[in-house]
Amino acid sequence: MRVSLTALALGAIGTGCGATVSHRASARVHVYDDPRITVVSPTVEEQAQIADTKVTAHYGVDAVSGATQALTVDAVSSATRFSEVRQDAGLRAAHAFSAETELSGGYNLSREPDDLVHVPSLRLTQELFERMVRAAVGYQLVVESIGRTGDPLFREHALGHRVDVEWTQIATRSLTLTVLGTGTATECSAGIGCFANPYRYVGIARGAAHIALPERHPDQRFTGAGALRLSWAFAGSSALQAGSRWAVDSWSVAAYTADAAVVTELFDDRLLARAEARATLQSRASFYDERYQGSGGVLPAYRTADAELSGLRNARAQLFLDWAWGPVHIVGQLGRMWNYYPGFPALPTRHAWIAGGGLDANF
Amino acid sequence: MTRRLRVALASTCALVFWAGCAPVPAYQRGRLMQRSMQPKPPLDAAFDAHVEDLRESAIGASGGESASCGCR
Repeated sequence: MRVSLTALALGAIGTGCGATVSHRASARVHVYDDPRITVVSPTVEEQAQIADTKVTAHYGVDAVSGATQALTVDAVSSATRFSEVRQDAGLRAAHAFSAETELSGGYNLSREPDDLVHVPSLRLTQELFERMVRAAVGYQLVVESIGRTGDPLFREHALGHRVDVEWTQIATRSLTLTVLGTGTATECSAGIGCFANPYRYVGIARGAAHIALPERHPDQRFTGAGALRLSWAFAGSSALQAGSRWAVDSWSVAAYTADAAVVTELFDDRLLARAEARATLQSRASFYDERYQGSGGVLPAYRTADAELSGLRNARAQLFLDWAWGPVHIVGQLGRMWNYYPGFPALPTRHAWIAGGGLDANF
Repeated sequence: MTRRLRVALASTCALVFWAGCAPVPAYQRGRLMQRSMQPKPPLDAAFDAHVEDLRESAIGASGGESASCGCR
C-alpha cells in the first residue's frame, strides 16, 4: 500500500510538471526452507522514471518460523520454537546529470523486534572512453542497534562503513568484463562483539565440568573482496554469465566463490530461461574452536557457536524463468542449496529449498 | 601476495586495457543489450544475496547492477 501511494505520488508529480513518466512495478514472494527454519518473503517494488530522475521504493517482509538448537546457560542443548518478522523498506533516487554521469542516494531501514538497522548510501556512476567503460563507486553507512527480547537492559551497537567499486568494460561486441571490489570496516560494542548472536551460548570444558558463556566475537571486523565477472553472448539469443570471487577478513576467514549461469531466450524470445550454479569454499575464523577449553581462571576471550564461522562448503543450483506477456513479465524460480560444515559437529549439513515467483509490469 | 594472484591480476589488467584500445561502435552493441545478457531482476537478485548473507561470511563483490551489460 505504501509503495502504491508512493507510485501515485511520483506519477502525479511527474505529470504535473509535464515530464514523461514511466513505471515499473514488481511483486514477489520468495521462500527459503531448510530443516530448521522456513522464511516467507513477500516484497513489492515501484520504480518511476521522471525525466532524468529515477526513484525506486521497496517494502518487504521476512516471516521466519522454525526451531533452533540453542545451548542454554545450563549447557543443555534444547530445541526452541520461534517465529518473528523482519521488515525492510528503502527509497532510492538516481539522477542522470548527463548521458554518462549518474548520482544516486538511498536510505534503507530494516527492523526486527530486537534489531534496527539504518543504511544511508551514495553511488556515483560514470561512463568513459566512448561509453566503453562503466565505472562506479558506492558508499554505505550501516548503523545498527541490537537488543534482546525480554532484556530491556541489553543494548549493543554497531557502526559499519562499506565501499564498493566496479569497472565494467565492453571487450568485444559480444563480451563484457567486470571487476568488482568491496571493503568494509565495522566497529561494535564490546559486550558481544560484531555479528554475534545475543541469544546464543557456547559450551566450554573446564576440567571435568562444562559451563556455558554468551557468544562473544571481536569488536572490530575488516573485510575485503574482489571479483572478476564476464557476460558472453553466444549462439544467437543465449549468453553465459560467470564470475569468480575471493574474499578475506580480519578474522582469518577466506572464501572463494565461483558461479555460472547459462541464459537463453525461447519461443520468439518471450521466455527467458536461466540455469544457475554456484559454489563456495570458506575457511574457519581464527577464534572458532570445535571444543573450547577453559583452564584455571582463564576463559577464551572470543567464542562462537556460529556454524558459518566454522568453515563452509556450499553449492547451489537454480532454474529461473521469465515469461514476457506484453508489458507484463511472469517470473518464477526453484533452487536447491547444499551447505556442509565439516568443522561443526552439531550441524554438519543444512540443505535448503529456494523458490519464488511474481510479476513485473512496465507502464 | 602469491605469484598466482599477481599473474591473475596482471592478466586481468592487460585484458581490460587491451579491450579499451579497440572501441566497439554503438551500432555493434545490439547483442550486449539482449535479454539474456541482462542481470537477474533486482528483487530476485536481492533475495539471492540475502540468502548468501545468511549462510556465508564473505561480504560484497558479488555482482553490480551493471555487471552483465556495460551499457545503458
